[in-house]
Amino acid sequence: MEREPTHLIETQGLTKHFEPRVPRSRPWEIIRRRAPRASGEPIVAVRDLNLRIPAGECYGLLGPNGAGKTTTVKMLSTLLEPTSGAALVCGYDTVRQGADVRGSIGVMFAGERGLYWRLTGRENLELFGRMEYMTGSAIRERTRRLLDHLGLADRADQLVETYSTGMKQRLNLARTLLHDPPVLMLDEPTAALDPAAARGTRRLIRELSGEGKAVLLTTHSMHEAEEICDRVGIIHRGALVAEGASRELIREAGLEPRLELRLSGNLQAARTVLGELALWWGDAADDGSIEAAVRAADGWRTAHALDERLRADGVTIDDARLRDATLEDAFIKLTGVRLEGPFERV
Amino acid sequence: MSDLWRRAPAHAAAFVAVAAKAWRMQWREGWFWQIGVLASLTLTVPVVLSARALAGPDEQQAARFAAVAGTENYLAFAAIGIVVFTWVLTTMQSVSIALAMERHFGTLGVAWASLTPRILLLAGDATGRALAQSLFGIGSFATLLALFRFELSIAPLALVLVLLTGSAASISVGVVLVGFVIRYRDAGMLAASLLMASATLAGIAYPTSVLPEWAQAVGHALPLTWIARGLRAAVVFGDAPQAYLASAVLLGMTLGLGAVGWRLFARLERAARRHGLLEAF
Repeated sequence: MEREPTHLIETQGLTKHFEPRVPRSRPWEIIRRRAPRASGEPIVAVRDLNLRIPAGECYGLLGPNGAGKTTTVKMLSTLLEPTSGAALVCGYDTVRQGADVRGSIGVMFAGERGLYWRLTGRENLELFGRMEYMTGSAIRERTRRLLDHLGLADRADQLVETYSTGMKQRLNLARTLLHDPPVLMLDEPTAALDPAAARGTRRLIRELSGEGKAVLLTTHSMHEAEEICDRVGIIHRGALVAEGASRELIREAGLEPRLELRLSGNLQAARTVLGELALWWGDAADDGSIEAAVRAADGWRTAHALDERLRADGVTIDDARLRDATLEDAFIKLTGVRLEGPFERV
Repeated sequence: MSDLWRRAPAHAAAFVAVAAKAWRMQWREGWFWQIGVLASLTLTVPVVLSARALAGPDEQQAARFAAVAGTENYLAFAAIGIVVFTWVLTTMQSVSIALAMERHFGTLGVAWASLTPRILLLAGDATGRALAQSLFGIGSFATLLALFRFELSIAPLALVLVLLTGSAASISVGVVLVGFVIRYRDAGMLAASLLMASATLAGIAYPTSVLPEWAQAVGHALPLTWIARGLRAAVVFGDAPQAYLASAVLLGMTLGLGAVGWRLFARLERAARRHGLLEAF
């Protein structure tokens, strides 16, 4: 009987530890059982991760670099074995039924690698089609459609090494979609794209989840997560700290509107005055000003009150904008880290 | 195993596509041409020249060579030996090189997340590389023949059989080694050194009968010994039965080493996945 799992991606207590690696200094370490010598506590890359992604859902795994997003994708795509816990893709166990898992997924990793640069775009797709056991006619048909759809048809017979970063990224996406898998794992698919190409890719991802595919998308773009993901999981230091639709996360975090300020003058005093209200601080600009965001429960009233206090301490507000709470605010509240722009604990 | 047979045509198509990729990509690399031509000639010509020097003026010493080698055609004997050595060495290493290239290109992750079994991806890539390298082997032998004009006595069918079984046995050795290379990051150079060392026991530039008996016994376990012996039988001696015997031994080695390599690869590749070393250089 065919298995019909409710969730196309499901993880239960998925955990991955790595041994810390240090440089080797002795020749005999080459033949030691553990080639990279381990010392100290293991690095916890992913901790007790529980995900459930049904068909037709676009799920965004949101977190800063090193949060465990790519490690999760690698475990789900059978390139890494978990230290503990289990992961099922289309009902198949990623450790015991690796071949079945690989037959159900399309994976795209971050960056412009993942293609053979000394082959043409078409040659790449033909090769990967064969590696996914497609027939020659199916490969030709899908290749033609995808190259047209992604705007690569006129460059299809040129070497990939001559492509721009954005073109490589689009070809990578075509490779991922070539065999029409029910599950897509996209690791920062728009990271290297210009705004127009990123918009097109986001639209395509929405279409794909609309067609019933389960899409796991990793990103550190709040905007992207809010725009295209049905649900978002916030991952921080390997652990899922919150999960839900963007609006739900903002509501559950009990977030207020925020005031984004550009300040100049006595910045030391500004830090003292804003104190607990501050959500984040940016880097100092060349002109000596600094950006900051503060909670503004009473909207512009808060702004006026702050303006008076800051002015009294020799601080000038050069610019002020009031914004509704966003996913980024929820992220900061949940993790204590600002995701986009310079990282600074608040 | 049933899945392996059920999908045999698809496996075969993927294998051919991956081999074609490796073949095509090698010819598109400028360094491949340069190193292929230069290395194959700079390694082989001096060895054959040394053999001629050792034969002495007017080839007075050639009779001594004939007494241990079974032929006075010492130039062809040496030429076959050194060409076989360079060809087999690159073929045996081609599986590990295939792995290193996938890691280098950053394609290992996506290729290994595809439906094709990973060992098949490596073996297919290695086959494409080995075929491309074989052309340099043929080219360097043809160059040696043109330079030194030695005589040949060819048994064509036996030659083809030895080449096929020799290639398969060499790739099987590579499959045995690649598991270690994937799990232990520095095993690649160690494996290359061991392969180089095996040339001493295989009688590349001299007949194995000059080696101590224990060394001859060890040499019999090496595919390189049988490939050299089979090719000399098929090309220098015109001794088809000896070449068929070498082919049969090589076929047995292919099956034995292939089975061992398959099991080893499965274990070591899983260990590499556990330790996060799959894509590590």
